[in-house]
Amino acid sequence: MVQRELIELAMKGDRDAFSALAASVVDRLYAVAVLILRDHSMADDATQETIVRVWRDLPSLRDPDRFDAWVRRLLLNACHEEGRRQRRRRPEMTLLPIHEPSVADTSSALADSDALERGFRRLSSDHRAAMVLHHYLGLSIPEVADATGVPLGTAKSRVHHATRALRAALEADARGADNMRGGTA
Amino acid sequence: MSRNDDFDHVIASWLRRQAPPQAPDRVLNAALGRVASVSQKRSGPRRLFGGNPVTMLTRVAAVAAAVAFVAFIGLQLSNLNGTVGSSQSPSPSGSTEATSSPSPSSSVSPSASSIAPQPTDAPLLLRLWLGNEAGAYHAMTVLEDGRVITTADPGSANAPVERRLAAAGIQLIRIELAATGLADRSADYFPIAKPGVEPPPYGGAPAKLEVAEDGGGTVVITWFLHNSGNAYFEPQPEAEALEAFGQRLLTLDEWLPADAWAESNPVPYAPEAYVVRIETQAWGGSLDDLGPETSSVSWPLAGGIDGFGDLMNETGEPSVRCGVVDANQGSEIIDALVAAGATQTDLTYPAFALGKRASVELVTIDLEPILPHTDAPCASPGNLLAP
Repeated sequence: MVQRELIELAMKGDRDAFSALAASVVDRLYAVAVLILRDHSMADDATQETIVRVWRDLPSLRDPDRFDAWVRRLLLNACHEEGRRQRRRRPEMTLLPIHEPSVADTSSALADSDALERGFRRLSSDHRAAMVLHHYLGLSIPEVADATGVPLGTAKSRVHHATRALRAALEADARGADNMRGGTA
Repeated sequence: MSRNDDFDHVIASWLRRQAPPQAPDRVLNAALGRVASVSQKRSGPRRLFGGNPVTMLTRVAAVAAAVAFVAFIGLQLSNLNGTVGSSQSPSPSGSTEATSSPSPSSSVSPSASSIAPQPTDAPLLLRLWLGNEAGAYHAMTVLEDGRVITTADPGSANAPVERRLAAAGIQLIRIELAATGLADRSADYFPIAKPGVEPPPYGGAPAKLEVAEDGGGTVVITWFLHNSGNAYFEPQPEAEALEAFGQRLLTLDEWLPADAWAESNPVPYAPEAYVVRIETQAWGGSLDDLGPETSSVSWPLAGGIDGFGDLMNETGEPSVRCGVVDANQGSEIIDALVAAGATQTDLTYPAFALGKRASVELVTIDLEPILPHTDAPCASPGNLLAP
């Protein structure tokens, strides 16, 4: 059954259709939540919350063709809420490395990955969300603005600043490595 | 491939490697377990019906906004040599009354948090809001002095533009409004299901029209026109009349005669006030890439940048300060930021970046124009991810 049919059935309260619909989107939702929140446990909660809200509010979806965009927005809200909740609960939140690097990574790529990880952690959740939507999901900047509910200029600014911060983090790391090599030569 | 493209590719590849390929089974199982005990929201007249997508009015709004926005961008490009500050003060012919905003002495330097926006001289005639599944959004405001303020479709831009009607144009709009026969009382017009028919579920924000009353009050009319024909719903003559009126508003260029306009070319909206949001967050890059120091800005208001407005979040990052300033103060802030060489991050929405090198922090300052006769939205700290 195609997604549109599942959506229309679920909108009418068909729980089996909703289960199938949720199963079809949960992996992508979880991946986005992990990337934004940098924490598996928080991503678990945000993804669950999103699925529950999708079910609860599905009748309010005006246009089934907008389902993906609507769910993304619910997920971002859930991530934001989860971030706020966790900050209240534990101010010194531990941000875990998310995924083991592939064995094909070179040592240079590993260093870059570490530098990106550090740079990415230092971004605000809003900036991380903009980066994930743009670079991971491949949304255009207007689509990022639409998904996050911010003006186009703000979305553009977030992607711009975050990209600049990550680039600078990599370059700073490279300069550090060069200095190290210079010192031992 | 450019250097930027290369780096974008690096980030995209890194994110793909970081993303878990699938969710643990417990996530879906736990969610569906919770769903089993949750009912869907179906109560309330605004969420009972529908299933149909965007109304014709919304599509017309998008087209009208796009036309206005393109014209606005053209104007901006032609004026690109001007400063941002000056671009906020359009001077349409015969518009001196509207652009003569209050002029407090800049030496007073009041604290921003104590400043209320100056009330506009021109009363509201009407305001049109459109809706989608994410909520209501401003489409058009018409003031008694002839100013017509249009906001582009959400997600495409947020640069309100304004034009000005002549008295004849205002009169023609009044006639159109009166012809609906619906503008003298507040009401909701939503689809009513035919007996024995199960309508498809529907929700989202309805369209809304606010009309100023002579006595100072406001008539508020909301409607949703379900354009699935008459298969599920009773005829909706009121909603159709309002929808038609909304379409007329959004296509003024198509039916108003030329002499109905005092100024038909859109110019940037000259706000009476701005919401100013200042976000401070850790900077992960080279200090060389940070904008000018915040201390180098001759901030025109008391308390400086760090003491501006109210702190909107007690914990967490970025820290957000927010306050409302009037048009003159907004211009002074923009001028001060431009003079300090602050990095401008957008052409159409005044937004700047500064730095604090000692604490390795990025400081961004956005100035969001406030529409006439609306409350200052400082309670929403510049982050619409929040509910």
